[in-house]
Amino acid sequence: MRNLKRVLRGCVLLLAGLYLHYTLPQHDIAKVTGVSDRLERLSWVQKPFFNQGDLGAAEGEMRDLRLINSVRVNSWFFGLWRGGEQVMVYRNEDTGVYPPYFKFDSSDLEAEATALAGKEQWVSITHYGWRLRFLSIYPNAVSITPVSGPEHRVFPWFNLFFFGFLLVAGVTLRAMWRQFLERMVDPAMESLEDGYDRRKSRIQKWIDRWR
Amino acid sequence: MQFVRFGVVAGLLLSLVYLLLSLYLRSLRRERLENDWAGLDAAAQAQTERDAYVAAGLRRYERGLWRWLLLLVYVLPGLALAWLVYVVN
Repeated sequence: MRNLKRVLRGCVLLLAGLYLHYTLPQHDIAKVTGVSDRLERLSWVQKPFFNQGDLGAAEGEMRDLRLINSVRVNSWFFGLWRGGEQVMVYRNEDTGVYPPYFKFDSSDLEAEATALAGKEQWVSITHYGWRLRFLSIYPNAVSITPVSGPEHRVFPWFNLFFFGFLLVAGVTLRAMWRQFLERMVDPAMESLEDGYDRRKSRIQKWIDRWR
Repeated sequence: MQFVRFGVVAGLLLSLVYLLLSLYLRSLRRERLENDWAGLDAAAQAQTERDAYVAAGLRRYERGLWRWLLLLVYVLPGLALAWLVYVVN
């Protein structure tokens, strides 16, 4: 039973970790090599990993998929280890309100990427999501900012603040729950027990009378 | 449509946070007032009843600054959202 609990807890933690890894922003140092635009019909497996092409447009069966082609500095372990170059393809879609990036400017981003395409300018591509080649799933590029060179490192301020906030929220919730138990539940339980004792003793007395 | 739904859900969630936090802070204040009363000497305790002391303290608390600061629960996420929209787009 305890092992089952451990396994379940592990699964929940793993899922939460995967979700955060998918959703939180990451930065790649890359060179934009081109942009492409193609008509696509998404399968049900792909759909959860895509947003919409343009926020204002109606959703149909076929849709445009904007992609940004790049060569990026290869990195592992949240960008701590890096070396070598690798091609990477990003999709460029509006996110709307979920995941909460509030990106509505995919057309502008395409224009920026087009202006940078084929140039020797290194950029930092902020993105979220995964590249899953066997399902044709791409990370979504959120913004592109020029940087000095391939050695540039972006400090993950947002993620730092996010986890800090998560920690504070968790501690506060725990304190609230404890206060609730201490002030509301415990006194109620005590008075319940008191009442129960009195009642029992009265019944006991009544039984005693018939003995 | 997406934005209307987002606004409604976010508003409800923030209201829940506001409600829980206000109950929690009030409970903390009540506990402190009760402890304050218990710390008074016998003469002072004879002057004010425990319940009256706590109730008066809570009334003062509800008019105080802390209750207003709690509205930051709505203001801060709103500012964060505005900043995010500005930076991303």
